[in-house]
Amino acid sequence: MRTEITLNGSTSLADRYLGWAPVPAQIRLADTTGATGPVAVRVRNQNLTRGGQVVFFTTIPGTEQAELLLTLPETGTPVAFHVAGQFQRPSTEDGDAAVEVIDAATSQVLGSTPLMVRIRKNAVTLTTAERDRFLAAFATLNDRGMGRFSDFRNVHTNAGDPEAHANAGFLPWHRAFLLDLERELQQIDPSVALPYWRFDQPASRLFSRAFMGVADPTTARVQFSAANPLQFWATDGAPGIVRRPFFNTRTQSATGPGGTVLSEATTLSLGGPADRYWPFRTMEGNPHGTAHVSFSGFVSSIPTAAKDPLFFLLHANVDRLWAKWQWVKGRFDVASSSSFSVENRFGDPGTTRVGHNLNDTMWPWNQVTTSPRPPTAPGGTMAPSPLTSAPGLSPTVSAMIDYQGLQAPASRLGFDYDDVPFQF
Amino acid sequence: MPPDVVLTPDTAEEHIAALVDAVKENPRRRDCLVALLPEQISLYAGRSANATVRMRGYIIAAFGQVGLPTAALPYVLEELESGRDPYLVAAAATALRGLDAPTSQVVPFLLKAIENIRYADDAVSFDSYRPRWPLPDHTTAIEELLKTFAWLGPDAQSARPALEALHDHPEAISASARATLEAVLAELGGATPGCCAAPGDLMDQGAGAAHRDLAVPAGVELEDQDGCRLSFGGFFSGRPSIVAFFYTRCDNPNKCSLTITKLAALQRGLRELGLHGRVRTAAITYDPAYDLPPRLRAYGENRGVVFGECDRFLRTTAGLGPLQAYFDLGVGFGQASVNRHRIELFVLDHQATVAARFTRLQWDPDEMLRHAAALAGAG
Amino acid sequence: MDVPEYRRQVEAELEQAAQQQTSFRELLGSRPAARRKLAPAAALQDDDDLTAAVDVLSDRAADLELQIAALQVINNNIEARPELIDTLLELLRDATVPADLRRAVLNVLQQISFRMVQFPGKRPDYLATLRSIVEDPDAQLRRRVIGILAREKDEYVQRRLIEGLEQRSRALVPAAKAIQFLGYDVHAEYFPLLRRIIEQPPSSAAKREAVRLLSADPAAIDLLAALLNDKHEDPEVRRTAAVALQSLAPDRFEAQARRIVLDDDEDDELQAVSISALTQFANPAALRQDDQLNQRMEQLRAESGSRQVQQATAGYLSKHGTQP
Repeated sequence: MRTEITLNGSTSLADRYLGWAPVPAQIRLADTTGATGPVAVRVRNQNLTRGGQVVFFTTIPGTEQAELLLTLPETGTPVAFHVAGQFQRPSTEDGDAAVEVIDAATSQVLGSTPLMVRIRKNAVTLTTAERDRFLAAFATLNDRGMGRFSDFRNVHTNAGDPEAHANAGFLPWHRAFLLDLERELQQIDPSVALPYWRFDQPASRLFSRAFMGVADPTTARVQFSAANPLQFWATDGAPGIVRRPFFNTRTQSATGPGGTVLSEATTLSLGGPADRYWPFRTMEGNPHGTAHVSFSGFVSSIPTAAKDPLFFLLHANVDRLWAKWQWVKGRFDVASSSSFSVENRFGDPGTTRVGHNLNDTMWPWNQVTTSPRPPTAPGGTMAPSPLTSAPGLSPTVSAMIDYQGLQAPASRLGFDYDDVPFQF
Repeated sequence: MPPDVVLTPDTAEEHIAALVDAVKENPRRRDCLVALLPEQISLYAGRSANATVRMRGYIIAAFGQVGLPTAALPYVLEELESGRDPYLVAAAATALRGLDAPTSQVVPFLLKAIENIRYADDAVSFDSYRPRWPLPDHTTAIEELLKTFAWLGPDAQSARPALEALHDHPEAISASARATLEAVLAELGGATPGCCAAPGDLMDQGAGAAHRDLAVPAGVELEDQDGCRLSFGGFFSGRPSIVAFFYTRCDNPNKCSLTITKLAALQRGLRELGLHGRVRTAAITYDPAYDLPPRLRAYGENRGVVFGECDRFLRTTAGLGPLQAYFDLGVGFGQASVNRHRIELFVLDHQATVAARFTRLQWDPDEMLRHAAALAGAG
Repeated sequence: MDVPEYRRQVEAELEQAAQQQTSFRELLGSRPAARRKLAPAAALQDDDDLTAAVDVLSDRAADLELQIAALQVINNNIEARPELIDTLLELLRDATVPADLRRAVLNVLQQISFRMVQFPGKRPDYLATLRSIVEDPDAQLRRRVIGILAREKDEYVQRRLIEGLEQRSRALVPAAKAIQFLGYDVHAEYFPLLRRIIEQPPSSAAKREAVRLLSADPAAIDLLAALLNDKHEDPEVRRTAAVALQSLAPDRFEAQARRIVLDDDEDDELQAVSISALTQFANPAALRQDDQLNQRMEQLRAESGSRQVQQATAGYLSKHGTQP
């Protein structure tokens, strides 16, 4: 007798990546040899002491369970359930988590499905192997300036600035930007998730030669260890990165001459007493802008910021803060103005630049190059994922809000943060 | 140009500025400034892109004072349609006010320039050449564009909806520009705006025929995006071709990046018309030493180009000079790369002769498809 | 920790933070020691707070921390009062204002440029102000301003930087920074200058920057290869030449990298860099067939006294060879 588990309707290895959000699964008897009737099975984690851990749901919404007791028809008809990563128990390697199925009567192992609980983590908590896989994938995407990373660099310029900044769509746009990059990295190495730089805390492990590098005190040119592939990073035809912090990366949070980033707790309170999106999005100023200008060099100016790989870790934290605010305040309902709204304090209310309204598609993924959009749309449509069809090739602002699929499971985007759970 | 004036790569910029200032004093000499505008003249050889912009901008802005010769108009319209440098855009806007009379035909170009520059405007001055900052006064590209709308007067009627939209969302323009905008809108009043003006006979935007009867260049050796070696005649003979010029280090998204994106659209159009394989598409780099095959391939693929037997990106491995002469390319070179180039697209017939050229202004993929279909049908 | 318990913990943290949030006027009224624990919350500011913040900026006697807090209040409310940009630009231009405050103002203007919808309309004045202070007596401010303009490929700052490289007495920043700033624009076309600097470097940092930026000049391939192969050259310069050649002519570099790895008498760090480059970018099929190279990697892994070489070979062998 042997069981088979499908995730997201597939037995493909490409589908075996989970976050905290439950995904649909099915189990069936693939080999019914010896089965004389329905078979009771336990579905559980294979190893409770190492690797990522998962939880199970018989229905959703529902209560997570450490294991399920299911009865499988001897006909091989599948039985549905849901599975998710167990909060705060992510994987550190591909396949270090596994769902095991045992015969409830005999304790015989009927099947084992390796998978990964793949989560965006605080960069300073990555294992050496996680860090090196991420750096290798990123350097491959850059490919000494000749790789597809050039499209990401070419999107974030003065020409693309109004599409991404200074308006309601700032957070959704950057969420889409990060997702596109992460999915491209996962096409190189599916075990990679984008880490974040928690800029309101010291991050010495991140600002080391083995990771994002250390600034030369004379030139601000970032120095890497001889084994770090980021030493070959190139953009605009020139190798190297220029970045020097105004703060002590070992002991301080991101601080520039004009101030320190807001703490996470203060940032999460920016929504005001009513916890609304519009005041919350002022985080574009502080902590987002403050983090950018806590350095000199590429990352401190809009036209050059995306030349620096740190940009993406900075913005992963910006996105994490939005995600955490959404979770704490329950802001996933796209129909609610508390979750997303467009308001102008100085112009006419309710309308704003195209690309920032709830149902607008976003450049460059919409490939629109007629005025007022920029003249070209580097990079094409949104990178696809084997795990979900969301947010689509040409995502709207609204498609980026319910990123865990809490309101609508089909909206799930396929990423999660280590400290932002999924909660019904 | 006075016969004794020899302009070379070593000519000091101040000399050019003095020449321009002299023409301002004597406007009848304005035609000699037109000779300074082609990108490929030796005056610009070896200079940086910014030096080239400085010189060209100072020259072009002078036309606003001395009058704009017809021969200079294509350069001005090109800058408005595709330029992203505030100094040059401001210069072009100023130059238009040197036309003999306002014409509504320039309205689309002015509106496009506002779109191009409104989020990347800058403080500029044409009061002197290579000014030292701080300056007592300056203008901006947006302000000069709006001043030109004011100069157009009733001929700017077709711009009213766009200018009203700009007025309704004024966050991207300065207070002084807003004042000029309000004055323009007040002048335009409540009259019904006319339909968008077509460029008409403002300049020759259609197919420019090959103006020289040149033999297909010999000695031009090419390498494609996969490292395959070909000769010019060997690749381009036998069927019609559409040939664009570009380089991967171009930093104006309205030029090379857009050209290649449109070339990819052209390829798709050829497939839809069943002309794939009967018409070639090619893009040749101005920068063959840097644009090695992997860069050519990556640049094209990132913009949707599909490579194949009849669709290639090319660099010269020999014969760049003859190639430049054959196409009369509008490109200037600094010490290691291009310092300035125009948009240029060519249609070659079965014998690789230039059948049509489209330069300076943005070309339309649908129009190119019609040319290609006509040539393929004739073949 | 289960999720409900985690939520309770987070909500408690938010509650505690909320108690420390204050309006700017309340912050002004607090004692200096208490101020550090307070955060002026954007949601709590009104027009009077903004006015108070502007007043603090004009008060020469106010302490810098308070003035930075005032700047943050202005930053958070700038869209409602866009005219305050002019106030900030005036402060930035004013050389009589303490340098610390001017640097803080510049930093906040940079933040504002990232997020203020009206900023494009102010951009010309902002850039004009920056140009007006490229000769500022404060070296830090000068360097920041020039960096911002250089990243915009500003014509004026490029002119001034080249003047400074050609005539030291007119230098606004050290040569290495001038070269680096010019390198933001590949069309700045200063390659003969870079070659002169490599021949007669004003500093080792300037030489390294010049070597790095020759990666934009195809005519420099032979020079970069020569620097890379010169065992008498500064190892940092050789390493920079390796990176530049890798960017400009990857095939040429790969051949050099292989030679360096096979050479018993080579610099350890350069060997480690070469191994990393081969690991990351070389054709895996070609590497698998290169017995000589693979044997050398095994040997280095076992025998090299350099930790960097050992790390690099471990990475190589993990990806292309036998797991050690």
